[in-house]
Amino acid sequence: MRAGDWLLIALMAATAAILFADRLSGGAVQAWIASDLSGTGRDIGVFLGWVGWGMTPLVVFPLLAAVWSVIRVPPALLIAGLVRTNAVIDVINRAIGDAARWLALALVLVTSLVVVQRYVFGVSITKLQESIIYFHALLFLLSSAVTLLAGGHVRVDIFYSRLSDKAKGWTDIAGVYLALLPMCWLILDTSRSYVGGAWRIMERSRESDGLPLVFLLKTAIPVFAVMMIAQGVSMAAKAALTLADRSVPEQPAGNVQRREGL
Amino acid sequence: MDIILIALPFAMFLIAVAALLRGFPVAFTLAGVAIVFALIGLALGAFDPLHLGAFPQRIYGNIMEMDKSILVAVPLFVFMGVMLEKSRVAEELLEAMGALFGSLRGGLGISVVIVGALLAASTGIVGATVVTMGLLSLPTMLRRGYDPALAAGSIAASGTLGQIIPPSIVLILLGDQLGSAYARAQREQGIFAPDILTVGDLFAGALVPGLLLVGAYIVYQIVIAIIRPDASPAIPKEELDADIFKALRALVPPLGLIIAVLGSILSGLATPTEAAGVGALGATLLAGFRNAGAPSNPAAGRWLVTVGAVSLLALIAAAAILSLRTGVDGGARLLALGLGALAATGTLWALVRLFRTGVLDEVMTQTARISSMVFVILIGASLFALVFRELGGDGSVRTMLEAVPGGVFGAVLVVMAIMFVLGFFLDFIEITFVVVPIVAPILFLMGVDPIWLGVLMALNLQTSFLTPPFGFALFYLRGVAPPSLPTGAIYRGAIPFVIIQLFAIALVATLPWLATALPRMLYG
Repeated sequence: MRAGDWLLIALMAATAAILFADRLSGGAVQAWIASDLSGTGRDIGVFLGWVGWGMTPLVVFPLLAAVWSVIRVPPALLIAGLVRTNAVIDVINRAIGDAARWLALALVLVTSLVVVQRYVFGVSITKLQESIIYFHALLFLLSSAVTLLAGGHVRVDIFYSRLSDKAKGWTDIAGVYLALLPMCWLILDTSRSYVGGAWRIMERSRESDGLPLVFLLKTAIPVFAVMMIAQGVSMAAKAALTLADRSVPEQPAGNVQRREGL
Repeated sequence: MDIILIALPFAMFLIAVAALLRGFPVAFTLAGVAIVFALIGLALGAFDPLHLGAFPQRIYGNIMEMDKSILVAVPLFVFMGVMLEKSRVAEELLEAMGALFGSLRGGLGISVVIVGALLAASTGIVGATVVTMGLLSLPTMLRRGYDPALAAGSIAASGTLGQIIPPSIVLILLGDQLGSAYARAQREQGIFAPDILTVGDLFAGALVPGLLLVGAYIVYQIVIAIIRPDASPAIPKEELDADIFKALRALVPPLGLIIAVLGSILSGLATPTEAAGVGALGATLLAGFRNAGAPSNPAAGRWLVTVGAVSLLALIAAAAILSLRTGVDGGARLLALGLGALAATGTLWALVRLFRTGVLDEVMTQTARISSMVFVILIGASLFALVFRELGGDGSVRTMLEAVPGGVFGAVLVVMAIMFVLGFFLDFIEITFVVVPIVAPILFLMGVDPIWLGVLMALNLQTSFLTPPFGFALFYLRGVAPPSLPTGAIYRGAIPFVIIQLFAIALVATLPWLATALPRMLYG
């Protein structure tokens, strides 16, 4: 069992507990959600926004270390900070990604179930059908960070594979600060009105018997952006450590650079 | 000033290619270049920042909405392919086919082509196919005195069949992009009852050209065996144990899956996504039956999974034959429920077995990675296409394509040439997501048939996958070939197959019915 498996079990248990509490209280939880969740969500969003701004300065440290290492050896404190940041981010994103990988199995099982229901019993349950696209979206959005960690986001490696470790490090630093972070920042910035709007109206499926959770699905987009920013910082930190001639802490299994090849 | 504005989209494209070559992951590089050029456009007053606000809407609408459920077929087919890979279908097929055909001159080459085609139609993952065949067949062929170039070329070429023979990921992504482009083009023409291009159409369209290629590859093997006997020698009969039952046992699972998955899609019975889901379940049952990844295979578990698989088959057969859909009455309903329960039990046990051996874990992890890799590129590419369009790139490309001499044919030829060259550096995913949305609507406005265009593009991408020195299939093979095999031999061996491919492209280009007849026949 990986940490992500426990995370998934905890999440499912929490969901079950909420549903159970709703049943016990005769729909009180649902009533609360209908009346208060939108406002609470906004408050939490504002709070998270401040946390995000507070953590933003951390983003520059890998760049600082990389530039510093050109001139002289970066201070030990900076190096230690990078090692630490890198480890924390990797552990969190790996746990989330490991939990998300089960969605691949859910995708297979639920699709098959829907097919059997539809073709054998002539029944179609809209909620179940819609859940497939939720699984699909969450699968690729939530495992994107761990895919970056494992080197699974495809590179054009005709020249890259021949670069020295330091040149690779500079490529990664440049890529993170010029491409990855701007893209994620753009997603976050534009998501404010887009996802905020979805929360304001507690957006639900266009089908009357569909899942009422479109606002949560849309929330996965800024979550993806945040996870990618964190993973980008971790990637830059590793590159900076390489540039400073510090060995990068060994990653657990699965961290192989390889093209998956469709 | 005007010149700068006109040059901007072209500069954007060239800079993107240059930036991609630097080697940072494609998805983010595309987005990064798009943002830089959006800023330049902003500074020149040629870009409205409001357009960037549509980015999350794009992500949601392009990949996460119910209308896009066809894209769910991608992770499902990947799951199925990786699962089949782990249940060692390829190994068994190669062994059995080699034993059957090995005693003929050129027989090993033919068996590689046939296995490549079977794997293409069942797993459809090029990298895995080339690697497996390179590990298993290449040493055998070299030991038996095959010309190294011929052996390497056959394996690389047969591996790329996975891109053109349906169901393939290339065709799904291409079908999705072409479908949106086709809808756009018709909207612009003011057609309000538009014709729809589906992934099923593209699958049906690619089937005949794909089989044609398989035939051509086999003919090539035969011709070589006749004119250069020493290039592909026969294996003495007494060294082979050609066992027809063994061959059948290796053939039945992949063939069954191919018939079920492809049959239900082509007959219009199920959508590609539904078929992929059931196919992935079938692959899981097969892997569970074989206890993939474990050294032993206890009989009790094997029986439990078999019962599950048979129940599932019976359930599907009952649905197909008896058409239970409209109101199932008491007895039949009970029977169906019973079968369903058995199928669920068998599936559960297969999953328990695969979880214990760690295969399930690997399959889920790889599916998650590949799916994420594909769709995050789509996110980056959609930002790229958005900015490119707003900078006037669409208009420039249209003017250019319309100015090409030779009308529609000339325009298609130019697009194909560009895609072919791009195929040297970029993967089909990037090309599909970046180039197709830009050029396809223009070509459709000029009256190009969408299925024909899709099949040509797929063939074209497949060819550039195989073309030295940058073809990806050749890289995969280089990675697993013994060091004693010179890279030059791999390149030399690929060239005849590239020529066959070019002939096939020319044939489909001049005889469009090769691609369009089957979908017309099936779907009217």
